[in-house]
Formats: sequence, structure tokens, C-alpha cells
Amino acid sequence: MRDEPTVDDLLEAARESLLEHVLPRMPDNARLEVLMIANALAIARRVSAAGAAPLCSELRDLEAVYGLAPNTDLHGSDPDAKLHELNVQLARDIRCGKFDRPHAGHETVASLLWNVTLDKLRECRPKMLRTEGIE
Amino acid sequence: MVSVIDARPALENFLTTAAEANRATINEVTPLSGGTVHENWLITVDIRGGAEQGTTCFVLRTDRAVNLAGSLSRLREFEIIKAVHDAGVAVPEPLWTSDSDGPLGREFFIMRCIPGTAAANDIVHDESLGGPHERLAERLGEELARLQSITPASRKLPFLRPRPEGAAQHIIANLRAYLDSLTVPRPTIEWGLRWLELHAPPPRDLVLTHGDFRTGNYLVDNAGLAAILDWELADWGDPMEDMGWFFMKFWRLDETGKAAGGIAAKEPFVRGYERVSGRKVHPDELTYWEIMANVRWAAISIQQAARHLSGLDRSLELCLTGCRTAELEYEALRLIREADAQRNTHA
Repeated sequence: MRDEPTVDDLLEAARESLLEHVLPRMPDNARLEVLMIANALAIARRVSAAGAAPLCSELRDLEAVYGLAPNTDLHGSDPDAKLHELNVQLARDIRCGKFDRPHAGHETVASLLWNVTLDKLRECRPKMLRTEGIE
Repeated sequence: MVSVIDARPALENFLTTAAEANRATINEVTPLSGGTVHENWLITVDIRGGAEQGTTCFVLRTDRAVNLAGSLSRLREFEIIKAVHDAGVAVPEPLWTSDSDGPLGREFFIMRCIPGTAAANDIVHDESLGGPHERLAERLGEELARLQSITPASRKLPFLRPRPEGAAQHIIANLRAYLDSLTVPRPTIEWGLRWLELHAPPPRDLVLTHGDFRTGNYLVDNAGLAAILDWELADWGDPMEDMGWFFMKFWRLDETGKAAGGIAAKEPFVRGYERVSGRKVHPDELTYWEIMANVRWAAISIQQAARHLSGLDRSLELCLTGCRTAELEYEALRLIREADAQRNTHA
């Protein structure tokens, strides 16, 4: 078990310090770079806070598309390797038309990609979900 | 490769010869924002003798580091600007060019400086920049029509290659080839490309396209549009290609309700385009090219981040561009859903 502060705490503190103490002292031509650093820290913090949950949900959806038994032992296996393998398969199958309408899997894959994309936006650009009226 | 500042004496000799002057003295060299790929420099020059006699401002444009795959060299970009300038498109007057044996050890060209700003954030939020924004959008539509008067039949730009398979299928094949070069699979982009492959409208005759026609790539002053900038992605393409790109949500910044580049609704832009080009804009075709734009930009955003990740061109800006791929994928998926729902209603 790691001691506190956690990764989240550190990233949040670094961002706060940057915006409150560093940004006001910056000349105009350096402000954009500082804001980009703050944005990178905010994204990193959200990714860290979300942890493995979005990846587990993506894996479950991919397993459902391919009729695989859900992998219950995610802690013991490498979800990244399995995700990579199934996404390579999915990308190939989409390109060759395997999930074209009216194929049975069309709607399932459409909703999988939609959900994965929303999860990515939650980490990278949560503001967009609000302006789009999704959350 | 010599920096523009270090090359000052050699540049002065170059300018003296190019301007057919007795002597050119550089007073000031200032970097302008050139984006992530190019360098633009404002140079103020005292010229004695010749047609340019007096103190004049020029812009020197050269490569920053690695050239973006698929983009034109500076010498070819110069040829494009010359051709569109001749066709009456608002661009900075292209003046002189040098190859990599010249003073910078890399290609560059020099244009006449036009005052104004291209900063997207300022233009979108400041109604006084660029004149009334509805008129600005209409004018941009007119300029787009004007640049499309250059076609492969005009035999003007022989280095641009024909696209016998049609513009859409050409882009789809290129993007797939790019995805194949990546180690990370991109099923959402594949989904977009498959949809684009199945729903491509009948190919139209090819025209010259700008390739990155958007807010941020045109210069305005207080009166209106001053010039269209950044021609390195110009190519033969579909007449609707640049318009779909211009309307992409990404370029609207937080003015998402103003579909024409965050400055106005689509209507004035389309009106200006239709009047000057004589072509009719079909909404379904336009939606198709908006989806194409989002899918293409999604792939380019991955490419931008890869330039950083490869170590060739380390930049936080490029790195963060890779974090925006999902926005483009989202918009492509959303537009596809909408287009499919509309087709089902009509079926």
C-alpha cells in the first residue's frame, strides 16, 4: 500500500499551484504554454482517478461482440493485451464489412464505439459532454 | 540548416538580387506564430533602388522541423499561392523563393506582408474583427468558390497528381494505409471510414482544394477578410471537401452554434459559395464531407501526437492534440447516427 499523497493528490496540487501561483506571474507569451501544462495535468488526474473501470467495461463489450465468456480474472491477466488483441480484430472486421448493416452485430458495435468514445471524452474533454447535453 | 536570424547577411544578399535593388538591409526579424510545422518570420527591410524601393515588410515562410506527411514542400506551396493569386483569391502576394542551396539551407519563400490577425480565438469572440461576421462568412464562401476555378483541366499545377478513383475513395485509401502503419488499432476511425466508403456520393469533377480551410487559417483586419493562409495541404479534391472541413465543430471553439467556423451560421457561407461558383450545395453531400473531415482530422491528430511521441518533434501542443482524437471520433459517430436516422426515415 502506498502512502498519501496519492497520484491524484499530487497532480491536483501541482495544477493548483501552477494556476494560482505561476500563471499570474507569466508574461503573455508564456500563458498558453502554462495553460497547456495545466490541461495535461487535469487529463492525467482524470485518467488516474478513472483507473481500470473504463477499460474493464470496454473489454466486457468487446467480449460480448465476439461471444466470449467474460474474463472474470482481470487482476491476474493483462487487460491491455486482451483489449489490444480484440480491438485489432474489431478494426479488421469493421473494415471488411463484417458489421455492416443489417448484420446482427451492427448495433452492438455501434453502441460499443459510442460508449468507448464517451469514456475517452470523460477523461480528455468532459466539457464537451456537457455542451453536447450528454452529461 | 541555418536559423533565419543567423542568416541575416545572406538573406540581405538574396533580397538585393531578388528585388533587383542596389542594396537591401534587414532592420528587424520577428518570429510570427507559424503553427507546429512551419516557421513564419516578419522581416522589415530597407531597400535602395529597384521597384521595391523604401521600407517594406515581408513574411518569410520556411519549415520548422519535420514536414508533415502528405504536405507540399515550400516551393510547391509557393506555386499554389501564385496560381490562386492569379485566380483572384485573397492571398498574400507571393514574391520570391529559394531552394535548399540558398541562404537558409532549406526551402523558403517570401510574400508581401498583409496586416491583420489569424488568431481563431480572437476572431471567434470579437465581432469587430473581420467586419460583420455574417458578411465575413459569405466572403469566405466566395473565396472558396474562386479557388475552385482552378481544376486539373487548367494544367497549372502538374505536381498535383490525378485522382482517378475519385476524391473520397482516394482519402479513404490513404487514411487506411496510415492506420495500417500504426501499432494501436483504431476501430472508431475504421467505423467512420467504412461508412464513408459505403455512402460516398457520385464523384464530382475535381477542383483545387485548400486542404485546411478553417478559422485560424485566414487573416482578417477590422474591415473584413484580408487573406487565406497556409496552402501546404492543397490538392485536387471534391468541391465539397473544404466546405465540410470549414464547418467541422472542432474549428468553432466554444461557439458551437455557429457552424461556419464559429463566426456565423452555414447559410451566408453557402450563399456566397453558390453565387460565385454556380454550384448547388446539397445538404446530404455536405454532411458526408463533414463526416470525412472529422474522420480525417481524427487520423491527423494521431499523427500529430506521433510526431511528439517519436521524439523527432517534442511539443506539449502536439502531445495534447492526441488527447483530442476522441472529440473528432465522437462528432463523426454523432453525424453518422444522424445521417443513418434520416435515411431510415426516408426509406
